[in-house]
Amino acid sequence: MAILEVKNVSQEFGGLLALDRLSITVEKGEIFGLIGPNGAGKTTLFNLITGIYRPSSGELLFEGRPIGGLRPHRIAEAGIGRTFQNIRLFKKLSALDNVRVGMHSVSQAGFFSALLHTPWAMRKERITLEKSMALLDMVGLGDKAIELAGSLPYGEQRCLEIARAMALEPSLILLDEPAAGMNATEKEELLELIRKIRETGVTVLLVEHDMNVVMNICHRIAVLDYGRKIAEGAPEQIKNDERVIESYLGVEM
Amino acid sequence: MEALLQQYVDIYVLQIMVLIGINIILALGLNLITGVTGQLSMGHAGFMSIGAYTSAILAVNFGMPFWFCLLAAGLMAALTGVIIGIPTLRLEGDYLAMVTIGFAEIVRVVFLNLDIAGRGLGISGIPGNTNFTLVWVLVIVIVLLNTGLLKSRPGRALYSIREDEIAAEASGVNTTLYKVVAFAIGTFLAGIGGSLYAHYLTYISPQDFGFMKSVEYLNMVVLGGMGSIPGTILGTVILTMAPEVLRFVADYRLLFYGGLLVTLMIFRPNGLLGDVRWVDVKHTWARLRGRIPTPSNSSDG
Repeated sequence: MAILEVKNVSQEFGGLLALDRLSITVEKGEIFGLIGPNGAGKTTLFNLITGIYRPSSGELLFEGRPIGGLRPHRIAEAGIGRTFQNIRLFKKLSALDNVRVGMHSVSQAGFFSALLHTPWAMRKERITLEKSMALLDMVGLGDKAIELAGSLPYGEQRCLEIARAMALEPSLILLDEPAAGMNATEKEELLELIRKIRETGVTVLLVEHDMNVVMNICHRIAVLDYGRKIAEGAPEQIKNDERVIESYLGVEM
Repeated sequence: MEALLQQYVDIYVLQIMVLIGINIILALGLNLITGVTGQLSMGHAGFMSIGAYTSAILAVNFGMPFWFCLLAAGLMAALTGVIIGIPTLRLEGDYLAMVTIGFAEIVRVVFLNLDIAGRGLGISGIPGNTNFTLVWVLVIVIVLLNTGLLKSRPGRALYSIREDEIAAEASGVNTTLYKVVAFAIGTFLAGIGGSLYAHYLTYISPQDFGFMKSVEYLNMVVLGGMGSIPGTILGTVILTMAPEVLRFVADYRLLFYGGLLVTLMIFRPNGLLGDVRWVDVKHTWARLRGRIPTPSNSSDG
């Protein structure tokens, strides 16, 4: 069953065509990779899916419902979580608070009941706390719950962002270059984490430049270049696809 | 209560403490908008004046009871806050700063030319309902509500908007809604503060609410530490007392005042208590009392 359908989506910025009639379908429960040279439109697609941009044309369907043009927080409520290429953590808040903000749409404690600390709101707060600590444990940051997010080492900041995205209790999670800047050990741990995420039933859409990571973990891969999809298929097929090699290396093999 | 206090405390000190209390209410309102939610508002005095004039006019021209005037002042200020806030806060970026500067000026000029507001002469003979007890009871209530708010889910949402608005949206926070609500609460408090001010001085005029007044409140928030309630209170106390305490340097008062601010900004750029976290305070306190702090497995402040 398709969880995300990108149908003929184009995105224009002034005169620049960032995405050109792109069509991609992500199946529920798979780990789908999106690769391509820099500027190919991968992050633009992410921003479109998460509501930061509104598509110039084409359709975006999530679980069968159109989401094109919805505001980002509505899309988060619908069940799409994401991480950012340049890490956007709440630096002056603790790791725990970062994850708890992620639980914002899940928690439901309203303004006044939260303000007055009603028993109902307090119960919701405790649940939020428990779930958030569980997520921190899952990414290995359980003992750093009260550390300021901005003071964490880079690799841990990436993991924290993933924990925050998971706090949304999403059906689909978008990871934008999660392995960037990580060393080999951290990448191994990241692969484990992504597998764990998938095991909880969340579909993963992954943008990555590290081919080892991509080939290792993705069920299917789509390749973008200049806003167009130039190839799609299983990792083995993509690895040997001429057009893909050409777009990365710029030469004919 | 007043009489009791006056027996022990010099009336001058009492006056300063009432003023400090009023300023704390105003500063906490601004802290919520700017310190916590990160929306720079440079027109706080404008909302204060709306509260002050609303309250004064209702009391002097219509003889309404004080509690009515006080409440109306807050609501009127909040209403205007929401009216200018909704179109402005839908945008991402620091448009609120520009809008509030302009808005406060417009308000000042409007009152300057409004007959019912006494034009240039302002309004005098406002009933002096503000006293020490009222002000400080309000301060305590507002501090408690504020603290409760900031520790809760909506409070975290507000902080997240300050930290990274895009990430906050992506985490499910309706940033426009929360920005407007923070602004509404902050301007409500400004209106309440304005009313208390009017009924304390018993005389208000447009000059009382110029741009520099807005800057003063901003200084209190920034000096104390953006987003920190104890910080804001501390900043308010210091900056309200400074002109009085610095009286001895007479003509050089403004120079000292400016120098004080610059020094503090060099050595404590995040404000006096801006870097202090409640959870660290708790740890230090536990250590000082001889108990080794355990790694926290519960919520932090």
